[in-house]
Amino acid sequence: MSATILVAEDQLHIRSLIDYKLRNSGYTVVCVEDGAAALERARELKPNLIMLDVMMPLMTGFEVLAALKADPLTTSIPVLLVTAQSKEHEVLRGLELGAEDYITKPFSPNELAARVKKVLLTHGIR
Amino acid sequence: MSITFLIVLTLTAAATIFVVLASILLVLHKGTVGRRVRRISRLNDMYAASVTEFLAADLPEIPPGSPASRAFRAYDSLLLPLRTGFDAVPRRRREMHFQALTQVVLDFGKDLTGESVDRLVYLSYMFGIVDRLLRRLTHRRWWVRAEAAMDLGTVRARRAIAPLTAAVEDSHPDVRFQAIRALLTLVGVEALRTVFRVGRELTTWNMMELSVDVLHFREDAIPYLIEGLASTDKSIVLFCIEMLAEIGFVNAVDPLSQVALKYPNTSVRAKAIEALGRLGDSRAEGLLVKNLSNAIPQLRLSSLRALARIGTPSAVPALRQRLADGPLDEKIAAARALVRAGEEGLAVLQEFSSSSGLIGAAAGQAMEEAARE
Amino acid sequence: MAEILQILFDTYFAFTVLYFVGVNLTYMVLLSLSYREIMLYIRRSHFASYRTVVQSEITPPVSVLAPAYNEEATIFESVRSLLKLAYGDYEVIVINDGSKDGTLQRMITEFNLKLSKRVYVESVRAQRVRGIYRSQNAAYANLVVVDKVNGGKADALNAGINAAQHDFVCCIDADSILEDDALQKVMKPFLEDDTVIASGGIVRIANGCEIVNGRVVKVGLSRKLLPLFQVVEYFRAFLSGRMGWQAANGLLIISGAFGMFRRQAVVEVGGYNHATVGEDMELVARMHRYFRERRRAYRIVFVPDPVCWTEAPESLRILSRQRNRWHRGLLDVILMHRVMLFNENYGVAGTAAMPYFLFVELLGPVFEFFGYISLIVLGIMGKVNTEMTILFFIVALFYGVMFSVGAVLLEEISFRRYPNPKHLALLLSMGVIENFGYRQLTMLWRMKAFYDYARGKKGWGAMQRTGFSKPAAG
Repeated sequence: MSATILVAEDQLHIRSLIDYKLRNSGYTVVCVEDGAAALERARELKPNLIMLDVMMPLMTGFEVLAALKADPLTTSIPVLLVTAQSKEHEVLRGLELGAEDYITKPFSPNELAARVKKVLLTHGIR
Repeated sequence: MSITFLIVLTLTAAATIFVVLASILLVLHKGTVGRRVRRISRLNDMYAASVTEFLAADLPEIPPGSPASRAFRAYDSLLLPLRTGFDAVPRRRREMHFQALTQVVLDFGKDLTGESVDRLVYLSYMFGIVDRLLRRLTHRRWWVRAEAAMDLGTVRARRAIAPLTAAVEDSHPDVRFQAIRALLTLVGVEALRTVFRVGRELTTWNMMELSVDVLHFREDAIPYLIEGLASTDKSIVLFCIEMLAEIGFVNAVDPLSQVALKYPNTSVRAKAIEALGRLGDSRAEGLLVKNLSNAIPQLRLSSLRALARIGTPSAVPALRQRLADGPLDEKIAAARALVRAGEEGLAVLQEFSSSSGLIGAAAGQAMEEAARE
Repeated sequence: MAEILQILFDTYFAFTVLYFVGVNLTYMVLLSLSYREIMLYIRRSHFASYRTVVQSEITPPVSVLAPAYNEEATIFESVRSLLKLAYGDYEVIVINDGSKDGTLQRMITEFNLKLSKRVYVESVRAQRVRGIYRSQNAAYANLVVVDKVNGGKADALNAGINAAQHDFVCCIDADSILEDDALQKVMKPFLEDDTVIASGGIVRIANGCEIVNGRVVKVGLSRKLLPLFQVVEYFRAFLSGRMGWQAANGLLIISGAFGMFRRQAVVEVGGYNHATVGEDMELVARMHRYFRERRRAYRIVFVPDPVCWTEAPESLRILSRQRNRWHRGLLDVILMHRVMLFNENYGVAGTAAMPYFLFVELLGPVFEFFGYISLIVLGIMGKVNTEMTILFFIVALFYGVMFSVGAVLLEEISFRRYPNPKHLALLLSMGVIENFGYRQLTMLWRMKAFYDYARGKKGWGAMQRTGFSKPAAG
């Protein structure tokens, strides 16, 4: 039984890269293109980890995060935020809103996989 | 019918036909462009997928210290499918494919770091992307040069360092600036030396863009920023002051104080004073308090704003005087500074908050802002 | 007797034809200037990394001023979307201009407002301020609400200027929808040139666009005729008009729906004038005068890309009132600043822009109207000159078609906000059709404006607003 990861990212190339990398690392990956879809599928699938890009059109990652934490169905799912550059207050805001961890763009796919593994481990999932 | 009339009529008819044709053509063109855009988009997707595989594929661990050629051989084997696919593309389509691949490489280049970037750079060299960009760097149109400079930075092409250094002295400001940013990506913080030596006439907009890059380097940038304070170009000096204040390196107090005292331009001195405040070092306090009674209003205001950033009980008497006597913006700044000046400062504000007029208003506003935090 | 009349009408008719030839030449010049400027802008903006700049710590703070009057239905959504712009440090100052409905109350409730001790100084004249409010909710920390006695839009803006504490003020309509990066883009000219004192952005018609959560999600065209005509009109006015003028530093008008100013400059010239309904143009004209008279370097620019979406009137009644007001405002400004006309001391603004607004925008409808009258009279008298008539229709209507179409093409070449080819075809046809009915209608409305002005009519008339933001789904 492999862990399920939900990835919300609007840019195709990043999405496919994360998808490929995490698949290679042995997880089941579901990708969505925007925040609203992310909320929907999160409620449906209850994944083991949600990866959210902060800079998405329509609904920003923060808005999605707030909604996820407010909903009892999804509140316990750990969230990994993907932020652009390391703007401190953006990171802090994400952590305050309840994100488990964050990774900044530009990122290294290897590091991303390692972070995901770490977060899943702390939640008792291999 | 007069000749003039006939001429006008003919011209009108010609113009009408022309405009009608142009409009129809444009609408059709938009339709074709739509199709073309979709085709390019499909190509992009295709290359995005192949490049993704290339970037994310697991490679056996290469022990550190082994020659680069080992990694390159590994990359070559990963690139094989992409290579064969690309060579098989018919000639007339090759340009479109090349552009799609370039676009995908650039997209990835902006967002990735680490070993994946090494792979990406290798790909760019192997497929001739870097070569084409280098050629475009000497194009006669400025926007082509500027874009080439920008892309060479994204693609991390170290071979471009020398041509980019030359481009920093290009005739067009946008080309110069893109070259600067590319060099910062390629060379790292040492590029700042060149930038400050050769750069000129940075607009505030340029500074804002540059600040994001420089702040990434944090403390590493400091020696270069201090060097930059000696530049003959005012915009460079202003930029360096701003960055030193933003990074908060306390040992910048001495060089900044020098600028605050001696630089021939008032706005630069005002900026240095403000920066001293933001650094929060007590060595600067004396200078700041002294400047509260400077004849030049800009310097007084900067000192007030600087004192608002750090709490200085010793400044309270001077601040009190500014609150009482200064113009409105100085009153507001003095009140904000008093908020931070400890017990004595708050006492002064309390005292004044009941006065009428601007003094009371400034004091009241500052206290309310403090309560809000 | 009849002969004299005939000669009179004939001459006038010929004059009208010549007039329109002159107008068309002016349009052609403007169109080419605009085209060049837009191309330059687009090329440069490709390299202006807005996404990077917005992360900068040294972004100059801006005060956004939004006057509101009787906007209870939409005020919450509008203000909330204003608070979510992608700009570093900015405050939103909503000025409640003595609304008679629950606008203020709604804001107090929804934003958790409390009376504040914020400093307010009358740097420019405005009606009495009853109170300044700030939110106790950290999420709305950059909201300031000024409640004042009613005084009109100009007066409300002045109150906003008095309450603003940043160096730049952005004056908008409370129901304008600003795009996320609009503030940055309209600020850019100030950040590249210290002499810039004002910059205006483009206003686009939101009717027919899909709007969710205070953002335009999908650009579209209305199904109703009236808004479609206005889309083309706005292209003409903004893209091929203002862009051209700003190339010569002769831009006389910055839309009240979206303009950015250096606060110091506005205070220096005395703020908005509340005795006129054309306050947006009046301020800019006055700025030209002030700076030219003192021989100080300045620039007033137009940025074609930062977008402000606005609701256009969909009914003839409201549209006619709006046009009536615009024309009365124009007349006001030209009368007030007539010293600038043909006066070299005022540069291009005086020698070219003001005369253009006088003879083309202001008096254009008059000349055209009497052109039609002459035609009718000559027709009745049976003395119609075929050549002249055809010439008249060519230069008046036909070239009108060209320029409307030219403006649409300009949009298509540059910004392409309407990606669907069907939309392009629709707009092009509108550009043609508007000259055969709509144009004459606006002409009549503007003629009436003269009459109303002479009668001493001031003031705005009722502008009914339909709140057009859809609440987010889910």
